Amino acid sequence: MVDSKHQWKAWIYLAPAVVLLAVFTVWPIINTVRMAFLADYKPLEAAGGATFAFGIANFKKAFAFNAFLTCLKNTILLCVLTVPISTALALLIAVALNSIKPLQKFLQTIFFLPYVTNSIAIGMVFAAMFNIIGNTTNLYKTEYAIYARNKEEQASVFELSERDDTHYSFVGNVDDIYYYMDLTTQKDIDKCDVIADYSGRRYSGSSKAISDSNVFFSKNSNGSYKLVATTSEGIKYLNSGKESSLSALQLTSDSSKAAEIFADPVLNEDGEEIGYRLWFMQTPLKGGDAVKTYFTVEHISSIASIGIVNNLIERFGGRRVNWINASSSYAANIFVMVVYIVWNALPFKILILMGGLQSINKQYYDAAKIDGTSRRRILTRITIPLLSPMLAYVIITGFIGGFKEYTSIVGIFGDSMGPTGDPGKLQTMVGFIYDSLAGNNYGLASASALILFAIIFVVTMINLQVSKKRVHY
Amino acid sequence: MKVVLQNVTKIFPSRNKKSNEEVVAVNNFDFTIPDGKLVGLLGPSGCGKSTTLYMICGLQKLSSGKIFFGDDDVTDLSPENRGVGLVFQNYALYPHMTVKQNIMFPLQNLTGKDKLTKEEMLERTQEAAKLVQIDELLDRKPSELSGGQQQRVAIARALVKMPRILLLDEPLSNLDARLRLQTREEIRRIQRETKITTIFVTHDQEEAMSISDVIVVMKLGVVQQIGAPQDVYDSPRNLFVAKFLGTPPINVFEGQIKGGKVMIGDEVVVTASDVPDQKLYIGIRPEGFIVDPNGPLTCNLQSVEVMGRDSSVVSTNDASLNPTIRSIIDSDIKVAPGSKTVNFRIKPNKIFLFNKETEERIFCEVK
Ligand SMILES: Nc1ncnc2c1ncn2[C@@H]1O[C@H](COP(=O)(O)OP(=O)(O)OP(=O)(O)O)[C@@H](O)[C@H]1O
Ligand SMILES: [Mg+2]
Repeated sequence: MVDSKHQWKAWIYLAPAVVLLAVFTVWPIINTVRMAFLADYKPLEAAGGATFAFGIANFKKAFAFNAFLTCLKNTILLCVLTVPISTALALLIAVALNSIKPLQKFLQTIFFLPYVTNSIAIGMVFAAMFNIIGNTTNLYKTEYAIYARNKEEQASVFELSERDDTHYSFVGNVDDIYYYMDLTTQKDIDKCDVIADYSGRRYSGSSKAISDSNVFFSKNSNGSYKLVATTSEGIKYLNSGKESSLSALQLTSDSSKAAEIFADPVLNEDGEEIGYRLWFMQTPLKGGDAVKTYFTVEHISSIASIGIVNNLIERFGGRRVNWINASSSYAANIFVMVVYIVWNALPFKILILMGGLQSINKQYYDAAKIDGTSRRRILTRITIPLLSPMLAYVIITGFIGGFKEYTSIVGIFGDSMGPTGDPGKLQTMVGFIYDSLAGNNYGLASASALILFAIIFVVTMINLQVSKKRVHY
Repeated sequence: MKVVLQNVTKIFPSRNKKSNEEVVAVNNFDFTIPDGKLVGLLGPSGCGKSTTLYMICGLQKLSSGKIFFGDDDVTDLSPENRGVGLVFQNYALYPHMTVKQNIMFPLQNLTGKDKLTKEEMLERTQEAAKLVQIDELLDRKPSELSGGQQQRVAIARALVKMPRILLLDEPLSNLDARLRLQTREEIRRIQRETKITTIFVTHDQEEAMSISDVIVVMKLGVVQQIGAPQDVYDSPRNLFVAKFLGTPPINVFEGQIKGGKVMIGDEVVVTASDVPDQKLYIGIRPEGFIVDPNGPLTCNLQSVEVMGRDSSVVSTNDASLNPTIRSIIDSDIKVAPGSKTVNFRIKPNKIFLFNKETEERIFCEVK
């Protein structure tokens, strides 16, 4: 005991820590609780002296929110799926690692690597594995190749030649003449631009970025241009109204005969629509009869840059799965998340369990061997009970971490927290809190934080209660 | 079930790749353990006792040699198929199981035709627990037991599956002196009752001598002597065995034999026929001294410790290898108080002569 005369000295020594704790830990917690119970709390207005109604309005609002319920569902689902799987896997790996001598250190390092790697970076790698590297705008385009044909049976492929984020070119050969097609991505179809490089034999066109449309152009017989867009809603035509001449279109000897473009759907053997064939009548430079010239915008199934997972599935004769792209299914999204989170959670758990395993006295195993215990019984009756304190620790921290899941979703889906076209589909509690904060919705954010706290608290209590019975210390 | 060890050798390869020093933990162990006997395996720390035990139960592979249980060659059999019970040096009771679960565990492992019903298991657990007198403690965890109780649980666990052979690795080393005495009697009793061939490892010679039918004295992996405890004590084969057995330990002197006269310093203590003249180590058991004012061996008296029935006379002599000579004499015989020296006569059957180079016993008739 410090003698009371000197207690003030002790307090002085403690003061820096106490002050820091009070300012950065205690006050934020108190403030969170306060804001959670004040309706529509706004810090600026609060500073200006405004008062707010006290009550549980924020909590009601949270539970009334569809988005909030989605978050709750996602969070709980991910927790319930990933914690048991990762714990069981970590246990098996740790036991396996512990029972081998050669390469043990090496494999241990390998398994530990994810732990020291940034989870956003890993997430991006996983996203690439389940899909195609790059952002989702480009993803769609690369699934299409553009064919040009002067006769239906003599196809000439337009190949992708350049690309950056918003703009890329295709090059193709028709009748020994190279044609280029530039596509640019734009948010709005009404603002589609024709890229202004008309020199030589160059087709120009634009492409709409937002979902799934490609835009091509043609020149109308009156000299204006016609843009043809293939969209999910079907073929759409737009007249650009531009007056400048397009040398690229000098495919016809007579510009007044410039093409009007028609589109036919292209079907595969199963009758599914896999693209569009655009065609127009064209008179060859050398003269002669006009021929029908085709461009086919077609889905290509053998693209090297799809993710390794789908590559493998197809290699073994399966059907490609839309894991994380636009209009992918919830189950597929969750599957990817579970794989990623489990993988990410393994190293820490393996490390802890390996430590636990190595501290188990080897004589228990010798004794078990002499008693004729089978391997499975050794695992279930000896290893697991003796490891139970570590297992309990790993499970409890796993649940706590699982309820705070956020970065892993960002890693895979980006901060839209969902596949393209469906933002927020995989939003989690922590993500919801961030978003509410970003939307200046302090009350809602605080209330959600308290709800999250309550859930974690209850789950941890249950865990501790269960482990009291099952854990041997 | 008799156990036959045939040239059993265990060599541990060296850890360090640079130095090629192998450890020969057990060297050419050749011995038949008779059926139903309790054998004490005795030797200083690191002499290969545990290693021998582990080879018998199959936890360690032999480097060479063979082991038979009865007529079965078990050399390459895995531990679970050997039917041995082992009590570990520190018991290795499963800490998360109750005493009952611990004892029942080996029974639950039985499969196939040996599989027991729940009732049979409980019955046999009860039986084993009764045998070691812990049937009151079945629902406790090992951590709630005293060392002696834990040890008995370990024995019950080893016995419950009716092993062909029971192995005990220094089971008493963690107990206090009284418990040690008590439990070693118990081990003796249990062994007598079950008649299971038992090998008992210890580095405490008293323990081994008191309960074993046969003792095996080992040193640095090599068997020094095998025999009934009293025989080994009365007739050690070499200086090591003589020194290792007996408390207080044997007193060793440097001396010589000249014309059949065994001399310590200039004094002829006994005569031995048919031994060529040579330098000797002379070992005299503490109880081999008789206080006699006319005795040939003169020592400088240090103190007399009275221990009730006996007294221990502590003295010194220039020829003694031990710093002090301890002799046990009847407490009726008084040593003159205040005297500087004490003279002893030596009982001829308590004096052993050893070759000075080989330290092997020189067997001869001593008078
Ligand atoms: N796994 C091993 N690798 C290398 N050397 C070993 C190994 N196990 C034992 N030894 C060596 O073999 C020798 C015999 O060991 P053992 O454990 O049999 O001794 P012990 O007689 O049981 O000793 P204690 O009375 O101290 O238990 C020792 O020198 C020891 O260092
Ligand atoms: Mg040992």
